[in-house]
Amino acid sequence: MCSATRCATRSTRGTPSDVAAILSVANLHVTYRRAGAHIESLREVSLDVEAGECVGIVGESGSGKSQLCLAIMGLLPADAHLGGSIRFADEQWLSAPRERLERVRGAKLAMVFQDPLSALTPHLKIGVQMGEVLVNHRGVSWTVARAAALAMLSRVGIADPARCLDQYPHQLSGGMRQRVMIGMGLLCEPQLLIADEPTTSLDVSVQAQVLDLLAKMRRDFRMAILLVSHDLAVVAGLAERIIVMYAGRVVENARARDLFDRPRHPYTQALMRCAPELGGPLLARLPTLPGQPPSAGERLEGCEFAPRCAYATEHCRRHRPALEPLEDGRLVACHAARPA
Amino acid sequence: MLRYFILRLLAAVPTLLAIVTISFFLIHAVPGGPFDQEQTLSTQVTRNLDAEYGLNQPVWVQYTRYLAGLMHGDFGPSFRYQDFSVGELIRQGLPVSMTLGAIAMSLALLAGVGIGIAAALHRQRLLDHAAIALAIAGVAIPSFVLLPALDLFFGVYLRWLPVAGWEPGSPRYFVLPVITLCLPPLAFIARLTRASMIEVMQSGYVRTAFAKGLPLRTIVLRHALRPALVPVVSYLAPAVAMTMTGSLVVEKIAGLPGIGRYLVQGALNRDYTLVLGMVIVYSALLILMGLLVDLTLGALDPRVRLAG
Amino acid sequence: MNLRDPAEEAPRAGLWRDAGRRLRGSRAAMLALAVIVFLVLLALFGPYLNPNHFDTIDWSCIAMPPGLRHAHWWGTDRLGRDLFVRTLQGTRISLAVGVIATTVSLIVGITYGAIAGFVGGRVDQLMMRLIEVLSGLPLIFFVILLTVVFGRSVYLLFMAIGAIGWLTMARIVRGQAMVIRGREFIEAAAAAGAGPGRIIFRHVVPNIIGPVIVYATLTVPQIILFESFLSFLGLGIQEPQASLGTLIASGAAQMQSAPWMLLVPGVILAVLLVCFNVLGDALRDALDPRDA
Repeated sequence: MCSATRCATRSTRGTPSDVAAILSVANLHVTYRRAGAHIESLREVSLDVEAGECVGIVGESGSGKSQLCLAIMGLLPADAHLGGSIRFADEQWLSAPRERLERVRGAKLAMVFQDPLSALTPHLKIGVQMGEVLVNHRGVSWTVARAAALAMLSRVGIADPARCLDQYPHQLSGGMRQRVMIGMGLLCEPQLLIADEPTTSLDVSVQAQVLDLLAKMRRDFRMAILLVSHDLAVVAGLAERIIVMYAGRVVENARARDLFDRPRHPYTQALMRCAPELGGPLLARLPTLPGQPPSAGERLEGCEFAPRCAYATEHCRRHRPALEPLEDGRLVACHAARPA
Repeated sequence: MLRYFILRLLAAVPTLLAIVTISFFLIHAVPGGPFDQEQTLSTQVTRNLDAEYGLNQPVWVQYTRYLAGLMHGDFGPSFRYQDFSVGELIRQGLPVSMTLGAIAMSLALLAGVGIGIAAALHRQRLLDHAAIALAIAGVAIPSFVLLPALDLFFGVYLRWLPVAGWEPGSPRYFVLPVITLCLPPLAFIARLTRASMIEVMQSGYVRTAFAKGLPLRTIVLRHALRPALVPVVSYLAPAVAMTMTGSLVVEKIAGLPGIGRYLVQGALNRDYTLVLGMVIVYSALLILMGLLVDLTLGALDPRVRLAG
Repeated sequence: MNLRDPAEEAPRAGLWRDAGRRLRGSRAAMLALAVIVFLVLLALFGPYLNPNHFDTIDWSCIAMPPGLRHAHWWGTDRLGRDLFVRTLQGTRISLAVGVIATTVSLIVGITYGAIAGFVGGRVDQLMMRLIEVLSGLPLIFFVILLTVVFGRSVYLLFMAIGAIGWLTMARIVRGQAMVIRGREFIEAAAAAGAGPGRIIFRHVVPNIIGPVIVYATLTVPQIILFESFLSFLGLGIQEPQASLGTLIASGAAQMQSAPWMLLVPGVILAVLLVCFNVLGDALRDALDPRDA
């Protein structure tokens, strides 16, 4: 089942198969056992990210986006049970020993977090926090690392990089902190950068700058980006492919162009209606669609979206639709999207 | 930084003055004097003694005299140790007490922080449970039970260490008193460190540090330890007070010639000047400790670093 | 007129039920509670189970080790006084002192904190400033000073200890009072013409029962320890009366020849302190699930 899904994903994307996926997630499950109940935060998640590709992941909060990022980074809490497989750079990643994870994390695989103030250590100067990445992974001296950090800071658009090196996180503005975070992730020229809501905590005017920076850095470093947001508009400008998640599942996986032209899953359609006009003012809070997603502890027999779906039938409530390819190559998990 | 230090030092003066004043009048409000218990003395002799020590004068005259003496570092004569001034007694005993207290505090800090970190990193495992048990033991076994029990075991049964006594330069006499003295603050520090370390290890910046691929050792020592120490450092002033309290008992049981016994003896004998002097010394030490704590907190977190 | 907001009432009842369930779920807390109840009963009625009196000297049994063959179950001291009766007598005094001092500190602390938090404004600022100054002082040494003042009257001494030990309570209560002050049912009560005194005791005080119980449970052992400490130093209970502290002091002096004189009161004291602390911690966790 697991390999079948992966094959389906591969074969239906319409890309030459010789382009190796840098990241390949197949049938990933993440479960917690808390207070006697099984809580599933991710269910049957499969996705591929090719080298140099930018993939967007979109969904409401609680849809499992952050869990997915942390799972890929190997940073889930110790009581998380993982099933399925994650391959990174042709290496089985889920069962890799801790030392191996430590070697790759921060070097080939980097992550930018949502809130750069809480994600930076308050008592360490920026120079130390950036430098230690190179000292740790490349074994260079602190002097060399500092020089590299300085160069990186000017690349990510910090106006006075030398001064910034000797500042503490709380002395920087939100936008500068996020630039530092991005620069810190790029120091070892990673193959994949995971950006989890990189603009959410920032001022509206700064959000676009940070997205531009990500786009520029992606070109410069030829790396893949996994860009996560609750906001389709954030992902729209950058991602070639977009994965929509709902209640811990992938419900639609399509080329960005196809998705925006014609969203097929009712949830994607709802998200599009909620999203502000592209290029228009970004709203701080989206008008949300009515109802609540099912809680992580709930297990529905049928489609998880059915209770909020305008098109839901009795069939939808009984039988969960599988994530299957449509004629244009996209994957959708919806009975209504397919001719009966 | 220096300016802040001096300002804080100056701010401590009124506090100390308040302590001296309250203590002075409290003690003089009590009927009975230091020479009441000397039944052999005739009324005339008592009166002469009172006159010699100025006890027959109005309280406020005694108070101003005492304050004037304090300015010159003169704590007055001891009423019971009649050949000594209170200052001399303090100067003799303080080095012993300070050594004992400093060793105990350092040990409590080092071991407590170490145990706390280890317990936090091995949650719900044997080490963690052992640390929690230690924390409860530290709260529940008072020094005046622990030291005699240790004496009984190591001194009387095993004969490894002396039960009590003191020889200058011989650390053997310090071992059991130090263990006894450091256990309560050690247990509390371990508990504090464990709780704050668990919290810090779940913070966003520690997650970032993991995401950077840093080894656990670096993460704990460079990223997590300093913020985790904040509550521990805040606790140091009460910990010093706790150690001082403990030293009263420990010095008595172990027969160490520190200043702890003077406070108790002074209270029992109504030796006004001695008790006053002790309260002042202890208070001054505590105030100084509070100041050090505030400075250390500034060094731990750049956000609270004060103007400079 | 019912001044309580029913919406306010419902979750509170639920909170207490939850807290009760969490507390009952903690085996350690239940065991600690059982041991405390047992020790209290033993201290109250235990001495009557044994024919000996706490200051009767039995010259035929000087420093006798514990055993069930003779009338002195926990042994005797060097004056031939029965340790079972003396220890229980001492436990009784220690418990009484702990409860009295805690009660005094509760009354002072709650009144002070409720007034500061409820009245607010400049009065509050002044009152909190006083607390700040007082809490900077080394209270232990003041208590030793107080022993000079109250010398022979132990109960007066511990009322005095309670009277200084109220600072923490006042802080807790003030915080709670300030939170509650902003709520609607207080405003309703004020609008209905209830005076501040009535509001404080009818509405503020019931809301702080939880923290008060926790605080009291954790203060009693502190005071017991404190009393034993002073008595050990000879500054507390005087002979022929006994408290756990004086018993431990005389036991420590005799430990080479009669170790049970140290161990019997020492173990009782340690068990008492552990149980109160475990129960207090469990109560705090139960009433404030955030920390659990």
